[in-house]
Amino acid sequence: MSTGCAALPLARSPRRALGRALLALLATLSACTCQDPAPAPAAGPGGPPTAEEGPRGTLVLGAASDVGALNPVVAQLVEDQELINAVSWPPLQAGFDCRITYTPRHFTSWTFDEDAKGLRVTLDPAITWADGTPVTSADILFTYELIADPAVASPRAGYLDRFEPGYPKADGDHAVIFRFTEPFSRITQLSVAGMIPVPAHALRDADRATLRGNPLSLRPLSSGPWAVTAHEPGERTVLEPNPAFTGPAEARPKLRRIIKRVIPDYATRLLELKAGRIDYMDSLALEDAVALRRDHPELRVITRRGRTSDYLTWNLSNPRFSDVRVRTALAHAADIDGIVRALFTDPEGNAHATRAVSTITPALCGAHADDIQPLAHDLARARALLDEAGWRDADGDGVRDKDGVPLRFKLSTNAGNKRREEVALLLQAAFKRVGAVADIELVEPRSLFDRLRGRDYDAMIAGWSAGLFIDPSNMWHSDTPTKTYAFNFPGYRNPAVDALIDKGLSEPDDEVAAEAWKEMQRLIYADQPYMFLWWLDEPIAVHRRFQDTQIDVLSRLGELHAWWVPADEVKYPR
Amino acid sequence: MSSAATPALAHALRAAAGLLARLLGVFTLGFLLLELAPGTPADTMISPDLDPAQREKLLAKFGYDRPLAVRYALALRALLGADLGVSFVSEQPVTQVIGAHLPHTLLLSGAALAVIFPLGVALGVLSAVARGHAIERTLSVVALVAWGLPSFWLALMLQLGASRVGWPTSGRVDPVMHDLMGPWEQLLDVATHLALPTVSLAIGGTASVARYVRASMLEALSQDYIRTARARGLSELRVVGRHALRNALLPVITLVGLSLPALVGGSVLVEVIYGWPGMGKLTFDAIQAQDQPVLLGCLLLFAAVVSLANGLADALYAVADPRVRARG
Repeated sequence: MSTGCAALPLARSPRRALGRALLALLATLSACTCQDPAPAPAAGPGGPPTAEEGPRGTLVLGAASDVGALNPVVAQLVEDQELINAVSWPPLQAGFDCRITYTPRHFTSWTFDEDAKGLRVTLDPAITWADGTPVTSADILFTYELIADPAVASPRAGYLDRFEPGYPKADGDHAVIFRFTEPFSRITQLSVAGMIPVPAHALRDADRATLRGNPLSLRPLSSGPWAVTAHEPGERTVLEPNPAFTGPAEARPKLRRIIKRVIPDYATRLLELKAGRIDYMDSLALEDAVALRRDHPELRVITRRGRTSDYLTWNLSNPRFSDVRVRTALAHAADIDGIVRALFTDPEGNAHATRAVSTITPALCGAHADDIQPLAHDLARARALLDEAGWRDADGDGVRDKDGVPLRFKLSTNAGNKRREEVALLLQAAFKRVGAVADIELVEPRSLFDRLRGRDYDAMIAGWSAGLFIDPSNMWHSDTPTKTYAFNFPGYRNPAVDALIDKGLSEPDDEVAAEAWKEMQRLIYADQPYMFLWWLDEPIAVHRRFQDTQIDVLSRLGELHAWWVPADEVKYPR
Repeated sequence: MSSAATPALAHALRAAAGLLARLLGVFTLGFLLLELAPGTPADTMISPDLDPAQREKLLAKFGYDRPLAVRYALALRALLGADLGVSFVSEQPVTQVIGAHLPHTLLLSGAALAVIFPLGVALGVLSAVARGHAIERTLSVVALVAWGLPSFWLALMLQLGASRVGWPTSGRVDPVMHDLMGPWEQLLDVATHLALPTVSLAIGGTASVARYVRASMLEALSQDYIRTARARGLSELRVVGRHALRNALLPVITLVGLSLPALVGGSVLVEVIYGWPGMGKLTFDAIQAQDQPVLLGCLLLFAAVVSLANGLADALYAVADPRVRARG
């Protein structure tokens, strides 16, 4: 066995397939290591509370929806994962610096097998559940047992496909051995092993078919710095410091309470933020973020970048879009920079979206192909390409046609998304200028992914929430006779891209893998199966009295135990 | 069994059979409408970029791997056993989910109805009595405008105004301080938070009742018995209050009956705008998430209350109006 316990960067993945599942796991592990650039004030009235002084201040979060389940086995919402991180002492601390890194937490150390097919992790014996029961290897095994149970229908069941039968297995009370069916990179192994455990002694007899409805899903037995002390359905969830927390003293909460308020209506949430009755709000509209920056100096508006993108996907089985020259021509016709200026630029001229050239987020600095030049808005070039592809207006009706087929298609997007509806209108106008007619179709949101997966569309505007774990196989790998890649919406096929995906996923060297990803992005961009649109900024507002807040690409509510309020700015005296 | 009790029993049995038939109809219609809706419950519960196999597993857990007829039969059998099932979303018993939201809607709708009927009747009577005066014209215009205002628009405007003066604009209580207050402070806190949604719901309803009562009062005041009462030298207060109003209020009984379902149904838009965790919001969320057990539970509750309220209105009408009693 070789030993390794330092921060591990994530930029490689030796085998495809785990990526999707890991996206969710990374969310559960997301706990950022980035610190505010300003030095922390010294302890005292203006500094963080001392141990003798105890926690102070209340943070009120404004949320659109109620807590779903604070059980990592069944949790679905990112918002729930953030609270799970607060009430748990996670196995690993995830950080991000152009790529994911892991440092020890409940896993105090780990050793990898020489064959890269397993690892042994050691647990911190000091960590206990809130009732005093130690968190042991039995809890970890029980967690994977629940994930495997079909009655639970855990969204994390995909993790188990890679375990050798009989694994994970306990090695005493405070060590667990994981073995995989094939070699994986160290970071991948840690990611799969690093599932936040649930208390076996408390959930052993629970009805597994209704695990989400178990009282411990809403008021979990905490092992972390925070504990849920109240949950009122549709109203609020209250977190207070866990008095039984046995982790390191520096991880004890500095705040007295966190209250997550449910305010379903966006406008009401904004009013409450402006009135100071909530301290935190995410998913702000651009114009509201601008107004808050201007009119509410008491709020800090933070921009979270590189997690959300929009794209237009072409159905390549449609004969209109089978020719790359047509797709490229339509990309030249679309004034994407102009749309960014029109829709995502504030009155001060700051753009809140950046051109996208791939599905790999620019936040992954080492792997993103920064050298790709986005196609310029060039109507003459667009017309020339369409002419060259044989699409001309033969009958003089203003619409190009070829072999009697007009260049007319449905441009679909999900109904109710005002941004995409506006984009559809602007693209429709742009296409018309080069003789292509797009008929806008608004799709019932719940049908959107079914339509995309079934390749039942002509052109569709949709979006991705970008993962920080690179596995583009599901999006870009060619279908095989035995497998249809569920998220290859255009039906893209390119053997060179397939080879690069295989290479990137199996390459142990980060730098070599990064080059494969970059080349893959260049090839895909040249083929234009998507009209790549933009990465959107996500503005988040938080009151300035909160210090050491950690809001970044990894998490919107990172390391909540570290947030604090100066003594002279405590808002709620009792 | 006495001969007098037999017709009453038969009537009760007919009413019970009618109620059961209506509940079955609502259940079946709700079940089928949800089936026709695009998508599945899994679509709102799991991220669309997760492996489709997980989606299928979740659907199987909800029973969606079975044919429609089988699922309907199973749901019906559970219902006949008084089992409303378990929420797809929260995996809690439907009765528990409804039980957590119903009291909040009862409070809000009860407060609104407590404003609507006394105030609506008073304004309607005033408007009828002051016929031809400026006060009647003013009240008529105000009632017409208030009646036409959408409650959600009113809610937004009230909220905007309230936020400028620091009045609470969302929630049932102060989420931070309520637990730390004394009993009287807590009561005041609830009343403060109740005010805006109550006013939003009550303004349109009050205007509607006022217009109804005004028309009814004007008709009553034009009757011969009123002229006779005045000719006998009774005071105007006695004429209006005792003779005209009593008869004018008969149609209001119907209105009360029709309003009772709102007591449990809540108002989706007002509850969403004010973050009020009531039945309207619960029903809306259940539709959005295709949470079939919760939605069917809500629909059955509403159908039962509508049926019972109609029956109650009929009974009250018979008590209040001897002509109805005489007709049987």
